[in-house]
Amino acid sequence: MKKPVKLKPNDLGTGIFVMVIVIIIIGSRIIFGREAFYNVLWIILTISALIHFVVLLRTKNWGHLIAMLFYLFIAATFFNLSFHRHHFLTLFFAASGFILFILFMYVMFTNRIKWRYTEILELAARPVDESDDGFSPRPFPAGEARYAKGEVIGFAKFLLKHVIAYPYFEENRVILVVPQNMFSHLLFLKRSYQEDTYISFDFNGNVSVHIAKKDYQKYKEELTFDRLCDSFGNLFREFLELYQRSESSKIIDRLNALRFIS
Amino acid sequence: MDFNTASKLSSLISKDYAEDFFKLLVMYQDISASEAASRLNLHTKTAQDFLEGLDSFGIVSKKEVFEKKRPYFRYSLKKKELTIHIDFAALYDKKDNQDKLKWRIREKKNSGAMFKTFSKSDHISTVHFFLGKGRTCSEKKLNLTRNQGNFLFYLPFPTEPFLSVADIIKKAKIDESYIPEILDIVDVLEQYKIIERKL
Repeated sequence: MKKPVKLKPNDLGTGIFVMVIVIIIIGSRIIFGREAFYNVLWIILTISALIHFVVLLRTKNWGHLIAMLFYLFIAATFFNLSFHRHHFLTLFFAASGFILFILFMYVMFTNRIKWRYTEILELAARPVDESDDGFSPRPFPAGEARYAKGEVIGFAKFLLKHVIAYPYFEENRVILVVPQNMFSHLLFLKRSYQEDTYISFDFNGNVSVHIAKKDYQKYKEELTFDRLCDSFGNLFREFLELYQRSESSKIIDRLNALRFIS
Repeated sequence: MDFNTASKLSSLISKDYAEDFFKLLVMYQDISASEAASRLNLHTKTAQDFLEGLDSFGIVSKKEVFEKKRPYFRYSLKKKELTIHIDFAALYDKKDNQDKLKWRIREKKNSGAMFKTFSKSDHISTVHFFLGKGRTCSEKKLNLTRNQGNFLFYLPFPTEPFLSVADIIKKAKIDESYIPEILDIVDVLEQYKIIERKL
């Protein structure tokens, strides 16, 4: 039986951002003409390519290579249209862009570069049936786990590669942040995790969980907070165990199984 | 000597004129307030209050005398030296604290308190909360010691079962020597309704 979704429908933040970009592009065409439209397009696409390039360097996830090349070739197409009007080159960039678009669609549909924020929050909430609120901004002691320092560091790098969590490596522990906007951490726009939801694995085997209020408010019900934190900790402990048993692909499978969440 | 008495006595003998007053008391067999006041250029009332203060601590003795005028007091030094002895350990009521260790507590739901952690640690470093409402609202910030922060990390969440203070201390692996400072923060947090106690 299909379980009811515990999270509220997605907020409008991303939709508004996309709308603004579309309005800028269309506005440039209407107000300033075709040249400006091409310029705005190649500039936006180049910025997108640059972002994916930085993320590629940080995550080593080839999905971002496809995304970067796609944006780059389409940007080159519009750049060529805007300045050089070299017919052959324009066709070459456009054709390459089309092939990369197909690959990019494959990357998108297989969730290779999808942030797993909603899936993580949903999976953590699944075992929690009580709704007694009890939110606390304190970190929750989520018990202990067995792992070596190298294992948890490797696990953190795996989660980064699959953009599931962003790791902070500290001298005595590893923090795995599950932010709504992964770019802010990946692009060094944010250097603190205190305001985000995170789980900490210290090198003595202690696990603690912090669920941010903004994330807690994304649930439809006021789930019993300590149970939610406990479940969040259990989820990552399970993921860590799968990683230790070299069954990391099952982590991705579990997350992909929730693809109905947009 | 209890702390309150010691602080009152200290306050009395810290007056600018106290040393000169004691010199007079040593030199004279007995002295009246007006004699001392004229000698030290003080108001008679000031000298009277000082001598009465010394009398209340048993440092001087007073004797009512009747001469031609109306009766008055003459004061003479009773002690040759003065020692202020305070037992700081006595300030801490161990019996009361044994009771507090049995308190069953947890964080209060919607307490409105904000907790900040030490960097690179889950231990709480500060607790912020607001006192009052509207225009009289003011922010209070409590800076915690490492052990207090550790204790608060293990404090049960508002929806968790209550836990005794002793059990939380045990869970947090806090040394017994830190118990007084833990109980102090428990007291403060209960006072400001950040934690609740099961009666």
